[in-house]
Amino acid sequence: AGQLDMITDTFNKLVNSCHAKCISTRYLEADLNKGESVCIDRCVAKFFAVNTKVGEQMQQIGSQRQ
Amino acid sequence: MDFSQLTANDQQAMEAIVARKQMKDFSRLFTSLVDRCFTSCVDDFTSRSLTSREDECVSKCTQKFLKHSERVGARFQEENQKIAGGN
Repeated sequence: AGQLDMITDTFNKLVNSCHAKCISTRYLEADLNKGESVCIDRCVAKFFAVNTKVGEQMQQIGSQRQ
Repeated sequence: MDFSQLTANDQQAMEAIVARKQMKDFSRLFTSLVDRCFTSCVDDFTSRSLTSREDECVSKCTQKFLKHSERVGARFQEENQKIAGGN
């Protein structure tokens, strides 16, 4: 259940971050336009890349401390 | 998530936990969406009711967010599968 919490937490952060970065708040239309769709795809990919990179660097720090 | 390896009792317990979390998540989605669309769309306080512009904006805001969340969910699943599959 702890893992489930972490996954849903990550997902919610992902949704909020990519909305802030990709979706115009002028709300001119109900549908996602092409630019927004592409941005979302790239945003998710980059979020995961950041996730991985931060994890790697923290592992490094952790092993240096030992 | 794969619960097929758990005992029947444990599976039931997990399903109850997931159902409870889904309910909590739904109400969290609702309040955050209200907050988001109110903040972005409502700025005319010359009357108590929503102007037609504000009304349309809230519709679009809600629908767009749900579509956005759906798309993020699809990409999220794909990325997770990559990790699980071990590319």
